[in-house]
Formats: sequence, C-alpha cells, structure tokens
Amino acid sequence: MSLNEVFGQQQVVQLLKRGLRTGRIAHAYCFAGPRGVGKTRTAQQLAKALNCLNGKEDACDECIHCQRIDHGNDPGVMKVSPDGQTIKIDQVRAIQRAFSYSPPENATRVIMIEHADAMTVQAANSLLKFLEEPTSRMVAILITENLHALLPTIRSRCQLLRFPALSPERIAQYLKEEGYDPETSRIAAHLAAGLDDARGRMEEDEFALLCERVIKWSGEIASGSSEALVSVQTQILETGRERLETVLDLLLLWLRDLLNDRLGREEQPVFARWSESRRRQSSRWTIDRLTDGMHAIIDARRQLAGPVQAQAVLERMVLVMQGGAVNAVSRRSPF
Amino acid sequence: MSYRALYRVWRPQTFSDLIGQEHVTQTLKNALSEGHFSHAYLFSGPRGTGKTSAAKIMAKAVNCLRGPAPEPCNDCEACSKITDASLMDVVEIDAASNRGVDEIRDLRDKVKYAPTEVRYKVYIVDEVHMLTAEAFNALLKTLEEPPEHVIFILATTEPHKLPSTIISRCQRFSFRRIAKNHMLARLHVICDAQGIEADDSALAAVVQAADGGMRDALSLLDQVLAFSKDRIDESAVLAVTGSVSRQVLGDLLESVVKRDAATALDRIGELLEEGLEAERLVQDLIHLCRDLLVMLAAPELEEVKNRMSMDERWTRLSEAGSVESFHSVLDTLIRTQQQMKWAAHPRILLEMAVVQLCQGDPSSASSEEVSSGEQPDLLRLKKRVQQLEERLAKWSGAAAPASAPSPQVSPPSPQERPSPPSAEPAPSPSLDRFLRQASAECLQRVRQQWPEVLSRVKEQKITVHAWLINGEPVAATENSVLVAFKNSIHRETTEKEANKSIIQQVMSRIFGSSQQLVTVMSSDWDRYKASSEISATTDDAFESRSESEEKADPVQRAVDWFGEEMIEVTD
Amino acid sequence: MKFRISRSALVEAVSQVSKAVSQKTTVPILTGVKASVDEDGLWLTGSNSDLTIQVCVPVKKDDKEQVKVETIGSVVLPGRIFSDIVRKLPGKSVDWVVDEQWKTILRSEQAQFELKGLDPEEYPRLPQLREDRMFSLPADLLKSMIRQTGFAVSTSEARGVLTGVLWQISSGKLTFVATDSHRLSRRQADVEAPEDLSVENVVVPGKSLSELGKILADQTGWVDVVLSENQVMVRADNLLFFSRLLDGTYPDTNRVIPNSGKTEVLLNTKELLQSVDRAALISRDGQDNVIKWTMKGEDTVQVHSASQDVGSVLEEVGAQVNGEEMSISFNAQFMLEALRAVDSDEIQIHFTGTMTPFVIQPADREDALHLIVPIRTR
Repeated sequence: MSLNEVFGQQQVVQLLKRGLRTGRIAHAYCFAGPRGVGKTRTAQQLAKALNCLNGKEDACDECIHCQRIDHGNDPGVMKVSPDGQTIKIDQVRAIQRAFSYSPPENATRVIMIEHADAMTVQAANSLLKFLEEPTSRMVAILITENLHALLPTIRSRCQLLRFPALSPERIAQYLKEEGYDPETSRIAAHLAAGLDDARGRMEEDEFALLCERVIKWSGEIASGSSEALVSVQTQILETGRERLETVLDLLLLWLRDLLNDRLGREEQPVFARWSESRRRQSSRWTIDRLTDGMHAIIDARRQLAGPVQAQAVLERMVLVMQGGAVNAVSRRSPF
Repeated sequence: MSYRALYRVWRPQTFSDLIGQEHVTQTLKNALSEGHFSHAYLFSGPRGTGKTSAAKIMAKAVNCLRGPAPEPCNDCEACSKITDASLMDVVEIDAASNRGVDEIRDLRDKVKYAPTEVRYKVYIVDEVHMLTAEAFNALLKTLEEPPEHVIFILATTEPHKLPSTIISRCQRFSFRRIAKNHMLARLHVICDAQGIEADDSALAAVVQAADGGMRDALSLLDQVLAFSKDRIDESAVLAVTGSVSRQVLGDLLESVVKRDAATALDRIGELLEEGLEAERLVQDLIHLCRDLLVMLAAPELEEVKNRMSMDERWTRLSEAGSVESFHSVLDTLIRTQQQMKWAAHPRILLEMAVVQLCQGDPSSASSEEVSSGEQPDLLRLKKRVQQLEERLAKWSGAAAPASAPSPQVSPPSPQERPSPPSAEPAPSPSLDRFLRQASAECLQRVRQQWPEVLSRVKEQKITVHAWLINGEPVAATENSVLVAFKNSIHRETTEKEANKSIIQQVMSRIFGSSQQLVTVMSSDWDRYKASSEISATTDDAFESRSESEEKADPVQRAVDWFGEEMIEVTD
Repeated sequence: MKFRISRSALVEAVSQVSKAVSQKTTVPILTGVKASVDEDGLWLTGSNSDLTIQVCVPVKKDDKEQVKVETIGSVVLPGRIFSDIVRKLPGKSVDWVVDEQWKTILRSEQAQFELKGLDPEEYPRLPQLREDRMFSLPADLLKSMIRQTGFAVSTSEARGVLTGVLWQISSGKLTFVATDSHRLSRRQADVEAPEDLSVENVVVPGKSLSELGKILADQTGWVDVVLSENQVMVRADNLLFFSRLLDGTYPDTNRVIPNSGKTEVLLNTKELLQSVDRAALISRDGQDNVIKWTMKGEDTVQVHSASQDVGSVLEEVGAQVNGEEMSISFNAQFMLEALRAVDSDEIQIHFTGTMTPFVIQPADREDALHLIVPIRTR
C-alpha cells in the first residue's frame, strides 16, 4: 500500500505528498478524525514514503525499507498504543530514550501514537518538550478520534490534519460497486464508521431484518401504543445487548428520515425501501416531538455505554418519546 | 536536517521580541538594569505566549558576559551556549517527565553546587504544575532558602494546580493571550522576513484560529505554506483549519433566521459533503452568532466593528434577531457542541439543533422571548399589548363563533382578512358547499400542522386525542377542516360538542384563525371523491406541495419567519 | 544455504551475540539472531538496535577447520530458542540447511530441529563505515579509559547527551570526557590515528561502554575503532561491536577546568581513599553526603563530617600543602569514585577557591583528571 492507495482521503494525501516533494514535512502532526477513515494507514504510508529508497513523494511499497516498515521491523519507526486503558508515562519515556540516539544516516524516524487522547495527563505533559524540540530528523504522528481530549499544549505543537468522515454516499457507492444490495448498503453506510465497518455490517446476519424490526417498533412508538413497551422485551432486547447500539442508531436514522419528510426536504431517505411506513409514521409526529424523540434516543445510547439495565433504559426512552414534551426542554425558534 | 518549524525558527531571543507581554518584559528589564532580581519567578499563562522563551532570555540576561543588562547580547559565549542549551549551569527541567519527589530532591541537592561557567545557575522548571504533591514539598524547601547563586524560573499553563505556598514564594508574572493586532503585526514581520506573500485576510484568519497563542499561529502558518502554491490566501487558511468562510455561514444563518429548516439542512449537507466536520461547523457558527450578538449589544466594540463592518449583510442579519434571540441561539449551539463531544452522531445533533432553531409558531416564540428575556423591554411590551388590543377589538366586532379562542394566544393571521370567519357560520355544510371553498393550499397547511393539532389536543384532553387520531384531514378551507373517519364510533364521539370545541379551539390557535371541524365517513368521502372532479383541490394536490409552498402568501411567510410583532401589514 | 560447523565454536559465538539480543524489543525481527555464511565463515549478529554485536566463526582457526561451507546465504532465527538448542545439541558438529522459505534444519547426530526462519533482508542493516575515520589502540588501554571515565556520566535522562562519554580526537590524541555537571572525569591517550583525523562530538552511551568493557574483558591485542555519523564500531579478533551514538551537542567543558590553583595539595592516594571512606560512614547518612576538608599549615588536611542524627568524625591526613589555608566541602561519593579510578600512588589536588571546582590528578601523569564541584554549606 502507498499514500495514493489510501481510500477517500485525497485532500490529506495531497497535502502530505506536497510536503514530501518540497521537503516541508513538519516534525509533529496530529491526525484527527473518526474511526475507520484511514488515519493509522496514512501514518504508516507516510513513514514509508519518508524512508523509501525509490519514491520521494510516495512509498514504492517494494523496497526493503517499505517492507520492513510494513512488518514492524524498522527500529526507527515506532508505534505506541494504549497499554490497557491508557498510554502511560513509562511508554512515553521509552520513546524519548529510543530517540536520544542519533538516527541512521538518511533515515527519518517516525513515532506514531495511536489513541493519543488516551495518554495520561502525565504522559501527555512529558511529551511536550519532546514534541517541541526534537533533536534530530523525526516525525511524530499523534493519532486521535477525539481531538477535544488532547491537551491544548499538545495540539499547539502539532500540525493538525483532519481526516473527514467518509461520506455515506461514497461508502454506499463503493459497496454497491462491490456487489452489495444498494438500498441496504445505504443504511449500512450511514450507520458505519468508515468503509470496512460498513462492509462488516453488510456481512452481518439479518441486517435487513433488523431494519424492518426497528421501523415496526418506531411505528408502535409513534402511535403511542403500549405495544412499543412490549416490543422492547420481545423484539428489541432479543437482538442481543451488543446490537442495541445499532438498533438505536437505526432508530435515530429512521427518525431523521421522518424529520426530513416532515420538513419537506428533497433529500433521498436513508431507508429508501420503506416509503409507505415513512409517510404513515411521519404524519404522527410533530417536528418538535421528533427532535425531542431523537434526543431521547441519543441519551439512551449514551446510558447504554455504562453499566445499566438495558431494558430500563429503553423503556424509559420509549416513554419519553411517547410523552412528547413532558421530559424535554421546550425548544423554540428565537426568531 | 529536516524542515524546521517556523515557531522554532522564530522563537523570541530578546525581551523586545516577546510581543504582547510588555507588562512582563518591562518589569523584568527594570529589575535587570537595577541589578536586583528575585531568586524565584513564576511565569504563568496560556500556551504559546512566550513563558519558556522569556525564561531563557532571562537566563541569558543575568549571565550575559556583556551584562548584566536589560537585554542579552545574544552574541557572547554564554548567550550562545544558553541558546543552544549547552551551558551546564542553565538547566531546563521538564517537570512533566521528571515529576517525582526523587527528581526534585536531586535538584534540591544539586542547587547547592556552585555555578561552573557563569554567574548564576538558572533552573527553568517547565510544566511545573505536573509535579507530585511530595515533589512540590521538596521544591518548597529549596524555594524557601534559595542559594545566592541560583535563580528558579517556574513556568506553567495551569498555575491553579500549584500549591499556594509555592506561588507565594515566587515573583509571579502572568502572560496574556496575545492580542490579535499584536499577533497580526508579528505575522507580517515574519512573512516579510521569510519572503512569504500573504493576503491580509489570510493572516487575519490565522490569527482568529490561533486563539492568542503565537505557536499556534506559526504552526498554522507552516501548515498553510505546505498547502499553498506561492501565495497564501484566506481560502487556503480555511481549508487547513477546516473552517467555513463567513459568507457561507451567513447563508446558513439566514436560512435559520427565515426559519427555513429544509434549506438550512440542505446547506449543512453540502458543507459536510465537502469534508467539513459538524463540530467545526458548530464552532464557527457559535463564533459568528457571538459576533452578531456583540454587534447588537455593544456596537461600538472595536474588535467586532473591525471584523463585521465591512459587510452590511451582518447588520441586516443581526437586526433580524434580537439580543435575546441570539442569546438563545448561542445556548442551543453551545449545548449541541457539548453533546457532540460524546455523542456518536455529530451530524444528526447539528441537524437537530438547526431544526429546533427553525421551529415553533411565531406567537409562542414571541411569548417565550418575553419570558426568557432577562429584562424585557417595556416599550416593546407596551406596543405588543396595544397590537393585541387592536386585534381583540377587530375580533369582537366580527361576531366570533361560540368557541372563539382567547385572543392573546391566537393572534389572527393577516390571511383571514379577505374572508372573515363570520362569513362561514354553517355548522354542517354539505360536502358540495364545503368543497367549493376548499383549496389545496389550505389542506396542505392543515396536513403540515396536523401532528401539532393532535399533540395539542392530547395536552388538553387525552381521550379526545385517542378518537381524533383515527381521523385524517382530507379537505380544508380557510376556516374549516374536513376530517374523514373510517369508524362511525370514532366520528360520533369526536362530534360530541365538548370534544369538538376542544379540537376547534386548538385548531384555531394553531392556524391563527377561527376553525370549524367538519367530519365525514371515509367511505362517503371516497365515494364523493370518485364522483366529482375535486382532485385538483384536495388530496392529490398534496403531492405537489413543494411547488405550492413556493407561492404561499408572502405575508404569511414573513410572519412565520419573524413572528407577528415584527411585521406590520399595510394595505 | 548449507554448511557444517563445529558445535563448540558455534556455542561460544552464540553466547557472545546473545548479550545484545533483547526479548523485550518491540521490533519483532530483533528478537532473532542473524546468521550469514560466506567464504570467510559464519557471521552471527545480535542487536537491540542500540548496540549490536557481530561475531565471526572463521572457516579455519589455528589450522583447524571449524566451518565447512557448501552454499552461502543468510537467515534470521528466533534468538532465545536458537541459543538454547545450540547449547543442548548432542554432537560435536552441526549440519545447517536453510531453504528458500528460510525453513532451517539443524542436525547434530541423532537430533534434528526444524525452525521457521525469517527473511534476513528485514534485519536492520549495519551502517557503512568509512575506514578513513579509524584509529587503533590496545584493548587494555581502551578498557582502562572506559573504567576511568564511565562512572562520571549522568544518570538523569533530562539531559540525554550527558548520559554518554564524549570522544574527541585531534593530532593523534584521544580524549574521553564524562560529566553529570557536578563532577567531571577526563582521560587522554595517544592512539594510532591518521594525522588529520579530527573528531569533536562523538558521544557514546555510558551503557554501551560498560557492555563493551565486559565484551573486551578477554581481549589483549589491539582494537580498531571506526566512526560513522551515528554509530561507533570497535573491531577486535573475530568480533565487531557497534553502538549507536547519542544525539545532541556535548557541552564544552574546557572552560570549567581551572588552569592554576591557589592551594595545591599532594597526598598518598590509598591513605586518602581510606580516610574519605571512613568519613563517608557519617556523611552518607546526611542529605548530601558532605564532607569538609580544611588545609592546615604545610602538612595537614583535616577531614571532617557531621550529621545531626548520627554524630561526627574528625581525622587528619598527612599531606604536602602549598598555598593559602582554606576549607572546602564536597560530596564524598564523588571523591571516592574519582580516587578509585586513579591508578597512581600519589595524587595532586588543585584548589582555586571555596566555591569553585577543584581538580584531582595523578601526581605522575598529566593525561587524567577528575573535577569536583564543591557544595556551599551554611
């Protein structure tokens, strides 16, 4: 693989290649963007391009340097990731120790820190000097999904490269070209973080069936019937705790379709196949209640991340959604 | 050697290079020229404001072979060795990496050794907030009785994490975020020296994004250089920061002000498609709204004046709202921004926020504005009451139906004027008669708002809602709605006087004019529909709503956007 | 790749290179040992990327055939298991065959091991060394230079470059300097070097040097030292030792060393060492391990140390004192380490003031010195 083959990050790749060509590669980068958009992959290719025997602005992917880096056998290219939950100060010290030696001739050492936001405060602070005053040719690449969680003092020492999420349209298009069902691809693409994740979802059993189930549930919620609560137990929890996030994400996307419908937007719905259900369900919601309902879903999804009883969370969510404005803040246009 | 970052090349080497910190540098220079300085300094302030640089300059100034002088010569052996960190008597300690009590005890022992090459041993303890509690205690002992030949300079971005016992033993200097004009001037100097051509607007955008940190600004400039061909313009800076130009943001905000959620969402969709992040967009929107708010609240403020006065659209945009309204927009946006930090769907959160900002009917918006405004403007209130009174008078003169809604919650729409409600008193008009006045626009409006009607009815009386939900509005005139039921029990119960009056009240309130409820059995309706040519005005016309929406009454649209009290209709 | 090798020679070589192999490395290939066979014999390489040891088992040693090469080639084998296998093989010789997929068969008498090898191309390449940056000296001299300076390196990684020993060469003179910025040791020696060879800033990690000292323990002949941008190589009989260099500019220490003294003292090394050792019994309990010397009259150095909790010690050591009477306090540990590094019977100490560094030198030679920074006492 090379920089050119990184999927869907043309802008970042162009920028880096330009830097390689003109010799303006910074000594510290922060690659920020959602999961699955190619951050680590790009960092790896940059490390290769910087050390490649043949290419100047990209990796040839054939020379021994490129191969060594790919196999993790180049001592000058280090990768650090969280040891358990966090990246600890000793890990950072180890990097600094390794970098206190002078580099091999013509080599550019690269240190990649994955999940850089998982550095403990101590670890992050101890990286500051190192990032600011590198003693020799090196490039540090801090990789993060959560830019906000990085210390501002760290961020201000790096050149920030943002890796935008791959647009669902592009992912869907790609999946379609790979021969997946276009309508279901569209849903998976909206749901997923990146291409690989979307493909993984398409491979999951009964993905389409799950969509069907969620839409039916949404109908029950919209009609205000207590059937919706029964379904929590009989239909939803049954899908398995690990799929509940997906269920809620699907529900959220579905409500977004309803919202678009109510607003009279032309945008192609995510759930293209269910136009009849959409028409029927959307007439039962007001825009306010839809946004309140969506907030309820987002809240529930966050709660599920913690050690809670899933059933209670979902039931409460259904009640909030059915109770309309009772639990939600009144949100009105100020204009 | 690889490329050297601009912020390293342009690190200040004298106090006069340290821009925007004159309150610090002047005091230090005075102390230096008089020759009495403290043995412990604390430099605190945000990132990229020059703390460590100042510490190094200080170390040079006290040890300069041509000194002591207010500024180091940067030429003698001592100065140049300090600059390239090879002088052993000037020790830079990274407290973040050496934070334990052992390291500080070691330091405490080592300060007793005399300097070997220069007059003073200078210990620069950077990131001092990272020391452990025990380490602080150990440091305290040293600061209590520092040897004559030692100067401590503690630097930190987070002085609040320091024990007060440490702070009280240091002479403290607070570095400030670098003011925008200072930073801009410095950037110009650097660009000139580096032979970089840069547009003013581009540098202004860099300064804006740097948020008072010089290192941030130079980092960003570096990045833009890597990105641009020969000349730096604003779009290059925006591309690097991932920001949106203010013009595009203005378009988006205008849609919101017009309460045109669909267009606003389309705009967001386009921006995100271009690779912009939802988080960034929210942040930029917050910045813009903040500026608009300031324009309204403190129009004479220089900073905003400079930024906003170039374009009169900002004046227009700001005047479309009020201090309260922008306040509330900011509330919503900031809440959204916070939620985005942990939620998995930033885009949907952004869309929801925008929809909410476009939502709600004008009357309730204005009433909320009154209740939420901290200091309601009395004059405006008076004016509103006056308007309401006028309308009330008009109403009472127009022989309102028995179920006349209370005027303060249902200001009539200007739309009703061409056909006042009194002209349609018929309690149960035949379908024919009803349909002569039915229009596609009316039906569409009713359908649009029907969920609202249902939910308000539910708030009033939940049982009525249970019956009404089974009905479907199939036709409407300016002041009546035809609802079709499949089941006769549903229809009959809905028709009960008490229930009907609740529904009519709600409809009147929502549609802004007196409304009659007319019911019909679905089967009858279908038969009727089949036998007459009414499709143009009823059901099927619903499909072409987007087109008809375009042609909706401009007055009504204005009212929708701006709220009743902002529009004055003159015939 | 196919050859037969004497097992005892192989065991010896493997144990040498294994010293450099670490199981803790993050680079998978470095957990292995690289083996290459060519016309000269078998070369084994072990490395932890900071230091690398390469050992050759030559085809013939003292006219005895050790390696019989059929086809040349190389392979990387997993380090720990390979060295265990070699040690436990039963026979006197080992047959070694490697196929294209680096599958390796080691056969000795009735035992046959099949090991999965790795691509030797992935093994880090050793630096190209230019022989014009080379000098030679006896192994014993190199060992004593290491011993006389290595102890003074800094253990704090805050200033990385001070954890190494500075090597300088000019006009055929090699200088080692080590300092932790509170004491300094310097040793010089004439070596065989090209007249124009000049080296100013080669900093060899202290850790590597102590390894080198161990590896050279049995070497008696001359060694060659070759310098590259980022590595130093020491070549002895059938052995190559590589160490990465430390990055950064070593501080200029010449200014620190005073040229003349106000007070000069001549002492017997052994007596002094014992006296400081005794005084340290008290001082080591205190915070800074401080002892105080007072130069009295023309023939006495008074050694004193006191600790609040323990008590005190007072002792007089005979000496030749020239110059002003004075007192000075310093860290006893520094003095002990410096004195232990001195091989001469008598030492000379030059003082320039109570607050300025003083210099300890063997009385009979100019090429070694130790400097200690005094401590200010209240």
